[in-house]
Amino acid sequence: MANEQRNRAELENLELPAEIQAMFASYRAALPDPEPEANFMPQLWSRIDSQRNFTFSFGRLAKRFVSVAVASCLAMSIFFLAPVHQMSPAYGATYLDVLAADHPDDAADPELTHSVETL
Amino acid sequence: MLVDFELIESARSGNDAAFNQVVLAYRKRILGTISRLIGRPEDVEDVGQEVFLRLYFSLDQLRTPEVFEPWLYRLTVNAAYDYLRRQKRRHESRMSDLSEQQVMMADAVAGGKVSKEELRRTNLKEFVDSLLDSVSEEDRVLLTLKEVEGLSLKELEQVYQVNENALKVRLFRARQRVIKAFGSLTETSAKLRGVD
Repeated sequence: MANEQRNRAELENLELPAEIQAMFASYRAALPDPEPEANFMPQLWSRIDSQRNFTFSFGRLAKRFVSVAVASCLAMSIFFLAPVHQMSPAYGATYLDVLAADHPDDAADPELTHSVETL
Repeated sequence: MLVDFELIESARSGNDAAFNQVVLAYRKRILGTISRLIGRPEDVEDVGQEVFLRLYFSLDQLRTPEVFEPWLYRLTVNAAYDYLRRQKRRHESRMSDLSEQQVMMADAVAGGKVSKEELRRTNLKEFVDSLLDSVSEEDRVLLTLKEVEGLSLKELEQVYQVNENALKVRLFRARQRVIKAFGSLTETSAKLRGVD
């Protein structure tokens, strides 16, 4: 408790030595606020303008990018959601139908039909 | 406050003429603070413009015009930090610049072009700059704002957005470090004078 109080008092009371304080005061007096140069304001406004233009172009670029991304999403959605069986009969048919379509001669073979039936 | 709240409000709502007036009112004070924070007169205008550039693009985030000044100081401190960090990376070139300046000053003294008062001021500036260079950027900025600029604890609390106790601890440590640095710097210069 006593230690804590001592630390707090130390914290409150630490001032810089008079020598350093005086040195800082002389430093402050030796360095008055400088007069801004004549082109301070024009330069500042040209920096503001160039930053504003950059922000504006970046904004426009970002908007364009978003538009292109939305358009691509829509195109891809339409492409993937379109009824797929219309593109190829393989997507709408069963496995056997596809097999039959691939081997039309097998289906006509009576021997093979018989052996399948007996199975 | 150097300007009315209405003017700040107007600048905040996007009025460029009002912003121009705000800059005209504060630029000298801000340039003075920057010159003492960074200690490089040739870069003061550049850092000052950076402060007002940041002000222009962030003015709409200011909650109320009442906190405008601490907020402007905060922007100044941040721009000074950024500058000092960049400078730290270019430390070697800076050292060569300094020695060049010293050589020029020595030539001017030898040629009788510099008065004693000017020489005393230059020496004082160099000593304080070396003293502040020997502590961290955080300590340098805090000590400059408190001891050189004379900001109160209340103002510093608003600039740093920390509570009083945290600020006192920071200040206590910064003062301890600068006292230590002052001791070793005066010792070194005394030794150098002894050698001369």
